[in-house]
Amino acid sequence: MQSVLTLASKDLRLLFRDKMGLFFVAVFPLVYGVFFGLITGGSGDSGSSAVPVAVVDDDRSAISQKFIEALEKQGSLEVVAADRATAADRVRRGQLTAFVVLPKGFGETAGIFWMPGPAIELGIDPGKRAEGGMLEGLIMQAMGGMMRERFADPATMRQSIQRSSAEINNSSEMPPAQRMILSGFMGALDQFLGSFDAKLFEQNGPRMEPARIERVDVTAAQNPTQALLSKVRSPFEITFPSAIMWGIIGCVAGFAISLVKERTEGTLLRLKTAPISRGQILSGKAAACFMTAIGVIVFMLLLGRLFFRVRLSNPLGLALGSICTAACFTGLMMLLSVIGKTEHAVAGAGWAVFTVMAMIGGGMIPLAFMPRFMRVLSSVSPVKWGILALEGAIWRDFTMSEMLLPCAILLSVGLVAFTAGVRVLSRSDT
Amino acid sequence: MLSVEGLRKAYGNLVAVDGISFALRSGETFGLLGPNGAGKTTTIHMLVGALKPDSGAVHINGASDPTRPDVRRNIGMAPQALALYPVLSGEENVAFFGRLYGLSGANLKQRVDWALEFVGLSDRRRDRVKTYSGGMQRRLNLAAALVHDPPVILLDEPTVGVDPQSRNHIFENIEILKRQGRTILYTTHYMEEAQRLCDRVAIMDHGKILALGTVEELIQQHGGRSVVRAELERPPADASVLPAPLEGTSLRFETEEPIVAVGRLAAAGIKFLTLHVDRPDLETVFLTLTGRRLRD
Repeated sequence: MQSVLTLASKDLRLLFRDKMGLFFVAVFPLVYGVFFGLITGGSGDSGSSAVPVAVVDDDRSAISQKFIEALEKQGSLEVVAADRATAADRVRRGQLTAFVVLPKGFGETAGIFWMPGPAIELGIDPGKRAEGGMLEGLIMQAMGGMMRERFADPATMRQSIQRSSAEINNSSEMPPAQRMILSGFMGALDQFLGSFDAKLFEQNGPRMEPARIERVDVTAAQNPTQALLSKVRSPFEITFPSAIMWGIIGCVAGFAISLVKERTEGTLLRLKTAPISRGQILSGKAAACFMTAIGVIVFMLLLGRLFFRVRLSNPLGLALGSICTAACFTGLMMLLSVIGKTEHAVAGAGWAVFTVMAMIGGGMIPLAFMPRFMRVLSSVSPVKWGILALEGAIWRDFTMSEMLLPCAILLSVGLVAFTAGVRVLSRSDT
Repeated sequence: MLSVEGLRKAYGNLVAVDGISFALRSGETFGLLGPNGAGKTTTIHMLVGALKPDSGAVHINGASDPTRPDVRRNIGMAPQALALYPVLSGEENVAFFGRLYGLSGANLKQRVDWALEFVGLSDRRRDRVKTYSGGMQRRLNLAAALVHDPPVILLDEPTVGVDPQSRNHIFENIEILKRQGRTILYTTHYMEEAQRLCDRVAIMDHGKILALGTVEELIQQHGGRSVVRAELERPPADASVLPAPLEGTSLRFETEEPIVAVGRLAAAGIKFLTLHVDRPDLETVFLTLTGRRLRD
């Protein structure tokens, strides 16, 4: 094991001293991920973390307007006005996270705690459940504010009470005992508001359910691609897995070439005469390639998480996907290293093979945007399964059992390629 | 210490090594002398287990499997192709190979210091190898073979392409190693090197050992006679004192004892304008054995 680590650390040191190799492993994927993230819509999002929401104001009252202003003041929402059809359509297209419908009569009951809260319709992009939960909380907060508004304006409140008292007194259906109690209560409340200190209420106001939120299904109108893409929170969540694959491809090409270089420049001969086995020599190279691939993934995801709103919502799945992807491409590195006998041959063959793999596997056009036949064709490319394993844990919300398919394919491809590479290498050495 | 018996290796129809046998005695420097393509490097590769022979056997310290780690720990090899990492420093290169031989900690540091000092590269130890001259790289190649203090050293053309200064440094290094009692197998196509450094020499060509012995033995057996070439002041009055007919005033003749022959001519009153004695050497031996020169 010590020898394997010695060999691997030597290879990592060689990589870090090779500026061009380092560029393809670390800088190029970052440029790729950021650039394509920006041109596919990242610029609008990256500057602000506000959740875009449409408000459909069917009430058009002063209270509904105050509610909308309260939502806008939250800061974490980007509120746009729209009619219902437009709002729903924009949520379906993934342009907005949700729409909120303030029904007719909203202003009559909003913020009046003895009356049932208005039914607010909420249509949420199903892929953005976390934002949905946050939005419900913000609506409730705004409704609480409405209640405070009511008490902060006792005159308006008293008008409402007096109107309610009149309705109670005129009601013929209400049992007399209940009518008496409610009339008494309304009278007391009217008196209370007549002597109400609004400032005191601001500090010690009531806390209760201010509205009923009714969720509206917005998935029915989506096609599968739209439904899938609606899960994406930031375009970088799509471009970063592809960028990671480019980094790994750079790493694979670099290590395959370094193995050929060891052969052509004679260092492999010196290694083969050292008291270590051939397996240890190849394991050292494979370990360095594997560690670099994992390093690329960690580096990119860390930057993605810190600066580009890439979620790491399933760390266990991500770890599994990363390990399987790195293992697969380590195996491919070993196979690639025996494709040609010179560095130029391996470099040429490597980029040719991996460019095709990346093209059909989603390294250039994201898998989610591919037409159906291309998605089927892409299954032959390990790049696809690598991207899928990473995306599954980043934004596709794969369960662990869903992660198994890409991971099993990656491991199988890696194992077959590694075995084939080692066999050819061993045969060519004798 | 180290021996091979009937070693053979072929690549398709090309027989690189054709059933050779030899044995190195402990502490001797043994030369494999032959032109490029003679099979010297292939032989070394089979000796260290980097190549599998088609037939024959290798014995090193009694073990017949040179791929065994305990056998390899006793061997240091400086390959003909520079086996170094250009972007690592000299010190990093030597330390890396030292670690592969199980050295670590203070022992590793001590051995690295010794090896770099030995080949005269201590002052350049932190520079990257790609900045070294060809000769310095050759010396570092030797240091990497010696870092683990092996009793058996295999040097495959260790002076190819080096400047005279580095070449002399390497010669001195090898002479020190000889005095330390190391067993050295030295391949070269420079007969002067074999003559200067080797206790015994095997002459190889086309995968076969054509002759084996000390330099003196080889010359005696295969070198032929010395050639004396002289330009005389004037032809002698009595031409019968000459061992060969004159061409103008030029005299050329072969003899087993050139000094005695020249002494006789001088005693007969012959005055020389120029005098050359070409004694047979390994080049002559090779020419005699193969009909070709070593560097053809």
